[in-house]
Amino acid sequence: MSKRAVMAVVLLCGVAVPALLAQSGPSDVAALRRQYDALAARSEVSRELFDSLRNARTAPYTDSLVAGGRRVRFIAGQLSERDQAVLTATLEKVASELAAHFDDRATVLNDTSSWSLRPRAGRAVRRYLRVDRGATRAAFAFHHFVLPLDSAAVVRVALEAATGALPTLHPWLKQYLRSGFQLDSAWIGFAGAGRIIAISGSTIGRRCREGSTADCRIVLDASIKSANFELYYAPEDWPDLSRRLPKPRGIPDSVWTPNQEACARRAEVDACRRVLTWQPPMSPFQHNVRTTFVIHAILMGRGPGLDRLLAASDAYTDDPIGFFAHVAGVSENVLIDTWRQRIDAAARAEVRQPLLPVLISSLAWGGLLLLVTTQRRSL
Amino acid sequence: MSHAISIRNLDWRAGKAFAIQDLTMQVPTGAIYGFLGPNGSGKTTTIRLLLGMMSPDAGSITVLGESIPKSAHLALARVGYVPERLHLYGRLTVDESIAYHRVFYPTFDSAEAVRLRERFALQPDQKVAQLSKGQAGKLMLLLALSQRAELLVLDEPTDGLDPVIRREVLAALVEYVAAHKATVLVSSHLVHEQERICDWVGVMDGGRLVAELPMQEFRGGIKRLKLRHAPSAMSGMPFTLLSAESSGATDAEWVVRGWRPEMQAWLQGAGAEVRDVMDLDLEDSFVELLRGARHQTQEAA
Amino acid sequence: MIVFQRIFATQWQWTRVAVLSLAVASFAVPTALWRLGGDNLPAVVAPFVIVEAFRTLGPVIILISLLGAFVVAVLPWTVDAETRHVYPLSLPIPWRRFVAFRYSVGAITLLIPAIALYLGGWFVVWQITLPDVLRAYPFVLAARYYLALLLAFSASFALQYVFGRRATIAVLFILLAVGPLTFLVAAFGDPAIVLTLKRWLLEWPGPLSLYAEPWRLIDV
Repeated sequence: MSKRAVMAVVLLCGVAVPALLAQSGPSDVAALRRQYDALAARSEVSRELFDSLRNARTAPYTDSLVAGGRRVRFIAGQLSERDQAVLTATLEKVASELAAHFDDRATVLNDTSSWSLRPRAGRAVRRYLRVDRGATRAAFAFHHFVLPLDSAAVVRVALEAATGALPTLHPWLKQYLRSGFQLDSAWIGFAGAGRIIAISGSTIGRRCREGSTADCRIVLDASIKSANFELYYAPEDWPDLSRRLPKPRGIPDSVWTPNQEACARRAEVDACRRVLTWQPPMSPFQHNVRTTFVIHAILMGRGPGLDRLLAASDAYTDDPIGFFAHVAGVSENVLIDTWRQRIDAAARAEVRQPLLPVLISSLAWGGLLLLVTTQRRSL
Repeated sequence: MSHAISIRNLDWRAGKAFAIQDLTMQVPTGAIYGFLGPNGSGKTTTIRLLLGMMSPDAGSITVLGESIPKSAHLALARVGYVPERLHLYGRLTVDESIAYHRVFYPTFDSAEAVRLRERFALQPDQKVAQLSKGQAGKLMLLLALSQRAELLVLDEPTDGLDPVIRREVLAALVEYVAAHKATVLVSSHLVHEQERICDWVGVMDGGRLVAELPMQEFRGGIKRLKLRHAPSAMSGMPFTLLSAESSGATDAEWVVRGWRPEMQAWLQGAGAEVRDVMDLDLEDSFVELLRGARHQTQEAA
Repeated sequence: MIVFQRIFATQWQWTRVAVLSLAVASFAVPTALWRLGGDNLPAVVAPFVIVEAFRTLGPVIILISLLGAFVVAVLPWTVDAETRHVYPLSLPIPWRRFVAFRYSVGAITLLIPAIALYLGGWFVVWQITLPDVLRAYPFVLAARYYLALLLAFSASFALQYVFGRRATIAVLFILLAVGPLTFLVAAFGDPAIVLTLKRWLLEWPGPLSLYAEPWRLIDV
């Protein structure tokens, strides 16, 4: 083998092998592919997966795969066979993680219902899978048509199943959960929650991130009405807030502009108070932040926690934090502290993505280009 | 005899327009080899091939014992090259060009470079791009000579230069060769100039080497013969017939190469009367050589 | 070594204006963004405002890395092309070593704008009172910037030395063709192709994965 060929191989390894060895990265593609390959190695599963696709068309325009006693339907031709198999394998994994996490409570999913996965048409970049299960709809948001395979997704599926299984949900819990978890693009993840709380411009949020449990309670409290903007925002936050807020309806420019400028430029307290009082209800922390808290609580509680969630009663009316601490099986302070640590770590991990992998791949690509360039030149 | 440059059966083609065909050429070590040919005959292409700047389609090239293009950089360390057009970096000054060039050649003589720079009256801080054609030619020659090269390859070194500069360039070249016994390959279409310095001649035409012979033979060996009753049978001639023209019912004029006085006897034996043997000047010899080669090519086609 | 030093000296002579201009721009970008987005503020600034001020840092840095690296790659090639590449080919140095030297000089000089960005990042951070929830990452930003410069430089360098004067046409063709093709495939064809291509290019270890990663100077 010539020296140049050896160099080319080494550089290709620099690009490709770390990807093969990677356990995690910007997405779980590598893990899913390995899982698919493991499933494919079990010949009866692969035969099942591919033969079912070819033979078992239940309706025009629909492909379906059968795996683990569950039928998964796709719109024909939207995804390649391999990708359909990967997604089916992913759902298999979700189901088995549910079983591992929630023991026999996961039987809510172990029925003969089928899941239809329908990519939303026309959105080539960001696609949705909708899992139909009777009257319940849940949507998995995902990037590059791969399901985010993390424990939060597992819990979301569990909650969907749970809320779908219950004919009614306690009103206050429904309010807190916003009628059953729209698992869509609003899902921000623990990292997103950590970021929002830190940079929201709210002193309460910053103090929560810095370790104040009492302030975290306010962040997580859905019942506080936004008239209490002074609760969320300290006076030093008001000028920044006024800059970001639009002029409300019904307030003439001649009144709004001088007050807004006095607040934004000169930080006059009375002007700021007027400007913020005119605003419609607002809270820096929406249900997407509370979702992360709920998921954290359920993960801590595991199977018994799911029981406690399903058995929600009036005893915790208007006390969501107390309820979820009960679900988690820990004290409120412990639940809040562990949640804060989780979002803090996730936010920092997202920002501080390791440099080494991208260094290796960039140098390898640069080296490959240099190798191409140093071909012998003639006039 | 050893050869500084040895080319065997060289083939190179650029599209349908032009090709070097089956070129075999040997430049003896220590010789000053004049590479003659009209414009577009393939001299520059051949030079680029033998320096490894282009890859041949077939054939072998050896320069100073190194195989080209595989070990071209080894050969180039001992070769001083002056191309037809300026090839130096125009953004550097004269002194910067010398400093740049020097690092590539372990044998580079900096003192000689300074001496030649003064002799050629080149300003050290003048940008190369601002040099005139003559000054650029002198700079390129300065660099080649300062390298103390064993082989000089000069492609039309005096083309477009005025007579004064041309003389300076040739004088420097002759001095260098005398002092260092270097081999020189100098290509030109100026025949009379080659005559003064070269001891070997290679004539190129249409991508082929049509003649390769010592200068003495080139200079003295091509004659115009005035014949009466010239023989029609051409086989067995002891010389090379370049051209034959009739000038009357019985008279003919032949141009021959490789003529020696004793060959008159052969012609007489063939029934011809040699009425006159005329020397040709070098330019005429060159023209007749080319004419003869083109005639042969047409006949072969 | 001496040959490399000489090549370095001459190539630096030709490219120093471009490299130093790029360095000045790199140093100035964080401060410029802060002046545009966050100036005239009270001493203690809300985290949201700080983070928002640098929202466009990533695209700006990526753009100047692409343009700057292209110029730094084109300049030495242009000088060689002025000699019709006869001069470097006539020197007693193997072609691939010569090209590797040219590349190395460019790669080394591109450290200058990366260091400038690092210093510029610290310069602007020094001007801001950071709340406890935010931290500065000038080293990570500068390191990513250098890798982006290197990647763009490598691509431009290869384009020039492999395609020569047709490099510009090749780049234009790629840019003009890829956009409409992507749109057509996404709109009328199989979106999976677009997604697969995006995955190969933008997910690590694809060649463009560096550009898809977070470019943040100040964050949580």
